[in-house]
Amino acid sequence: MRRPSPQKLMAFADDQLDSESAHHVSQSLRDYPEDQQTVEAFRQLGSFIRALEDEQECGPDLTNQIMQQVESCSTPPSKILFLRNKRLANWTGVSFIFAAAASMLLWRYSQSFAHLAPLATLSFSASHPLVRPAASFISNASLVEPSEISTEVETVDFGENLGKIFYLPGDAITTVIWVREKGETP
Amino acid sequence: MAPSNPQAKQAESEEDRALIEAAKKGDTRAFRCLVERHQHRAYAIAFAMVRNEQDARDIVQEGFLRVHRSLPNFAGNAIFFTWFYRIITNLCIDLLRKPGRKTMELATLDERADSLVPADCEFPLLQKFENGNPLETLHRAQVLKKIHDALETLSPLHRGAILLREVEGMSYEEMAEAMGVSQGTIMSRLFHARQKLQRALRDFYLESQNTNPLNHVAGDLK
Repeated sequence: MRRPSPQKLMAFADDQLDSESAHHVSQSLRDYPEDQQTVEAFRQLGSFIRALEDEQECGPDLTNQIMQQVESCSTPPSKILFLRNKRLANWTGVSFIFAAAASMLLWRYSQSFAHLAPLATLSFSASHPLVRPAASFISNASLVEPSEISTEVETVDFGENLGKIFYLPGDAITTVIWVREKGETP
Repeated sequence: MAPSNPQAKQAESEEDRALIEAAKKGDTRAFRCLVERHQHRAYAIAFAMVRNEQDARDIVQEGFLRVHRSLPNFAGNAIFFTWFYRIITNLCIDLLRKPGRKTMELATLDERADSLVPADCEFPLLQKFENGNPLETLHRAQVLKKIHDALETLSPLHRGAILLREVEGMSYEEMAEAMGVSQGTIMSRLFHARQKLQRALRDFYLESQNTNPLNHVAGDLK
């Protein structure tokens, strides 16, 4: 009969062999009594280690600390799942709304610029800080509108100063806004 | 200490499963019960591996936090304690691998120890213990102290393997799952760890025999 290896003897001592291998080892132990001692040595060592662990303190009680951490930094798992699903649903909805709004804007712009193409519209808003505060000074503004291009000017207010808007023709139209300082001669 | 017989382990596993199911539904008391059941064993394993009380405490706390976070993903048919000890073992290994930590290098030491040990080793200690009745001549406390010291010299992975087997009573299969390695690796680690412990005990025994004349008398009488 083949003599079992020390590792197999260890597995035998630990009851980790299948029944066939265990049977084989137990048979061989009769022929090799020193192997029996090896098996016992493994078991005895285990009992020493367990005795050592028994004598040692069982460690600190961390229950309260762990539960505090668990309760402070998390919600119940079932709620987490619910929130996770809800978050997913929210993000999907928001993404859809953004996509729809972007499509609408693109469509609106394409409609509003359709009759101007290829030229852009020059537009001033009365709410712009440059043109506030006085609509009453609109008379001070002097506009030079190009005759051959289609341009809309909603509101122009240079305040107390006089101003002019020039359109410089070329490959592309360049817009120049000239505002005179107070007291500056034209 | 973990239950040693299979029936008790099975019962414990069933109770763990019930607690996990309750904890999944948000039952805090069930989770607290899980903590109470496993914290000391987890601490023992963590301390055995990292050899530092504060680190072991941090690892146990982090381990339970991870368990709590992962509860929704925990498969009902899995065994809680192997899953949990794998988390603990991984946290220990992560800590030991941190740069600047003054400890034995996990991988190199483990491999070196495995490669140095001859295949045909001997375990002569027991023969002398049996024949010479050493428990009469050696103080139990001294033996345990020697084992404790010898455990200190083991690599963290070898120490972890010994603890999982001898104290937790895990099977090789469970240990392999808990440590994320093959059963062959587990057997190798266990074998070499035990061999080293046996050597330490043998040296201690021989030393005692030489220094205590009463032992020779006792040996002659046998």
